[in-house]
Amino acid sequence: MSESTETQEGQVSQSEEKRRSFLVEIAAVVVGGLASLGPLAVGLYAVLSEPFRPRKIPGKFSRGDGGAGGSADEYFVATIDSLSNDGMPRRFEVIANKFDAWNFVPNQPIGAIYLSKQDASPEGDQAFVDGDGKKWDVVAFHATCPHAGCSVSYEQTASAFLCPCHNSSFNMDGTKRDTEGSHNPSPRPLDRLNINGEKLAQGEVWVEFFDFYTGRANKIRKA
Amino acid sequence: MKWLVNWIDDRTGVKELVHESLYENIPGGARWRYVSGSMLVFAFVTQVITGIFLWMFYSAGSQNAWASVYHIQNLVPGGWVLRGVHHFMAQAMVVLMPVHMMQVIWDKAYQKPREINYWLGLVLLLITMGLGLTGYLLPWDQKGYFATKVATELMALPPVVGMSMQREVVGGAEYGHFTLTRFFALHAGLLPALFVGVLALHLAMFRKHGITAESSPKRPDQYFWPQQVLKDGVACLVLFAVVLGIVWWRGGAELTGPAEPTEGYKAARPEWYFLFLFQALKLFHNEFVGAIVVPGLVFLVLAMMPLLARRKMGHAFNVGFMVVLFVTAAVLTYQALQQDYYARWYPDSTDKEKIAASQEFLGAKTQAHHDYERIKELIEYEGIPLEGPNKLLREDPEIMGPRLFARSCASCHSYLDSEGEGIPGPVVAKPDADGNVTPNGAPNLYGFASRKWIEDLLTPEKISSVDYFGNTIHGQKDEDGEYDSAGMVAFVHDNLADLSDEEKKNVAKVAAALSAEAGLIRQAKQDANASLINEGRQLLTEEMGCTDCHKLGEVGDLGIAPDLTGYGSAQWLRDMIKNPEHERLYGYEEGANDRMPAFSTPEAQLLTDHDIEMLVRWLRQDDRDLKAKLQYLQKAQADKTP
Repeated sequence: MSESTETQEGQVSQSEEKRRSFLVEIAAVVVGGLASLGPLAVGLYAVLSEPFRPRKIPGKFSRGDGGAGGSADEYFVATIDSLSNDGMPRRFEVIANKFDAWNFVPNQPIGAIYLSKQDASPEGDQAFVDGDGKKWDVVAFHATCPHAGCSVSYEQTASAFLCPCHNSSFNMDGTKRDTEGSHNPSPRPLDRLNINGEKLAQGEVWVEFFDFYTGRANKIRKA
Repeated sequence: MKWLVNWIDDRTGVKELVHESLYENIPGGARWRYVSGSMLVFAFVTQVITGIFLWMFYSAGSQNAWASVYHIQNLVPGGWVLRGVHHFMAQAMVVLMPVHMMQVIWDKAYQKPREINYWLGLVLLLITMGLGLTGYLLPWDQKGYFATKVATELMALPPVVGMSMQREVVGGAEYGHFTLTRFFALHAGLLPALFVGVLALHLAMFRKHGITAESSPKRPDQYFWPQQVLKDGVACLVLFAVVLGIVWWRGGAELTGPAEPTEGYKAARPEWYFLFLFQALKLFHNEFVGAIVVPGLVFLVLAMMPLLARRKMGHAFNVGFMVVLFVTAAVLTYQALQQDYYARWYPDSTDKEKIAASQEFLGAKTQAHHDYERIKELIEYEGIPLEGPNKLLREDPEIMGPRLFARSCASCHSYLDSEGEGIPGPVVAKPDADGNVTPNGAPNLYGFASRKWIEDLLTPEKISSVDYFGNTIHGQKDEDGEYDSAGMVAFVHDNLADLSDEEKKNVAKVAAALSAEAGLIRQAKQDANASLINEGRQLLTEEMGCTDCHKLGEVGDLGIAPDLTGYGSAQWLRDMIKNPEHERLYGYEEGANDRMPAFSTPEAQLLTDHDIEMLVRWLRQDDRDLKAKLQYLQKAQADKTP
């Protein structure tokens, strides 16, 4: 008799206990979760937001005035005399100030381009006029393959830019080259870069240089 | 959902695992006093998490380590919080560990059959200390570099193996890249891995033996889940909140300037929790005894405690030993802090020696703080060169100037602003019984060649004061109490005393004209007033008669007094420091140069050209305001290009 009463009381308190215990469980999960997420949140915030942080470029004294080129991304690459008249492309390094995380290093190679000299179209008014009165234009291509970012090289035998990684190839004018029996994986032609016409008329090649995202059909500038 | 859980459980037995870890029986039920262990695990996990994130920014290497930590601290969004949490959670671990240990000893949980688990705990304590020591060096700042250096120097003390051991730890004979790569591998790899392994054993054994408490009718047993988990969770959350609060309050973990091995750091101290060891070392006259034998013996006693407990009164001895140990450590820590902060805590004390020692510490700290702020400014303007942050320091007049001045110039010259702040020169000589003063000082060079400095020079009461020629032969009176009648001091006293307002204005114009000779960047705007300068120049060469003795440009002759052409300009100062007896300067007459040595002649170089450049630019204050300097240079550039 007494035994059964005990059991009954025990059962009542057990269900009461169970309800209370449930609240404690919820609280334990919430509090424990909060505590363990704290350090993770701090770290994730720092690591994930750093690459998108606005950057102030230092080197204010060593940078000088950034050259007389006008636009900040425009760099002097070569004189027009260093290009051959037969239109063969030549590879040049773009030398500029490099800012890598904490390091500011003036005058470092930041990329490569191909330059070639071509006949200027008759209506082109900002061309370079040589001693014989002949008008010249200069074409600049980014040396990075738009497919997957390998570095293309000019092959004289093929008269084309070839990429060593996945067999992309490009004609002299930068367009995709069709070769029988081989697939050209590049989604777009070589990335052409703007040239400062005013400077070109004076015989200097100033190129507006920046990188583009690869693997896309359209040219999107990397900020 | 249930199906998925079962599917996984069939293959892994995860349910049983979770059940086992959550349904640990706690005799006597959940209690707040059981939280210390869980808090320590939480603190360690926090260190692992924040440590891995810091790792994503950190670069071990003597040119990059400081730069990367600087970057975390100042440029990474929330980076200072991340580093701050890591820094202060480490300290929380060091505080909580002895508390946990004391609880274990008090509750007799170190005795049979838990001896091995107690020893594992001691191993965890040692690993934690190792983590603290190795982590302190990683920022490669002045503080961490020199504090850690002391620790590794002491490592060479043990006979036979000591020196080789030191070489192994340091990665060579000297501190360098390999010291960092080794310390980093220890700090982020080996020691945490060891910690995890030992912690796993520690927890497994804790589970095997259970909690030491006994059940009582009043306090029924409970499972670990959920009551104890909730208490642990609350405790961990509070711990995290407290650490965050400290990070906020302190503005994150301190970072001093980059390590300068040849410069030293007078305020180098280990982290506060090692201060008692640092202080204990001072008590022993033998470093080997103080740094290795005594701490070793203390640790041996700690390790022996479970065995000692089996003896009569053993437990009482153990508890007593712990109390004595804590009190001793606390007293030693207090003493160490008291000695360092003596001048601040007891400003009225007459104990000159203690005050001086403390002032040296505090002064070094303040200087380090100033240097850091300056470096920050330099980095904002210039970034950090590939050669490392030290290149910025070595090429900055504001940092190098005062150091060189203190070393090479302050034995005669002072450099004190109007508030009396700066670098004091020698103690001013007092007149002897006959009223004779032996000169022992040279002019105060603060603001040298500025308008104010020259105006004061042309004031009778100033020129014969210690701030100008008062402590030099030029400011000495002869037997008749007269200044040398051919000298500058006599000239100022005779001609520039009791001036009318008009005459005072003229003196100011002369000062402006002469000061313009210096071409000080910070005075560029005032110096652009050409009519004033021309007027002053005219007064200088005509009415005032300066060029009767001095030469200025094409007017006047050399041979009677120093040349005023380009007075205070970089070239003039360079020449003066290199050799004051240059014929244009104080070489105009035998003995005209008081006691200033030539700091750089073809025969002897007391200062390098770079040193002199730093001193010159610092004295001219050309680099003090970087923004103004940049504007000045840009304007000069713009004026040059048509």
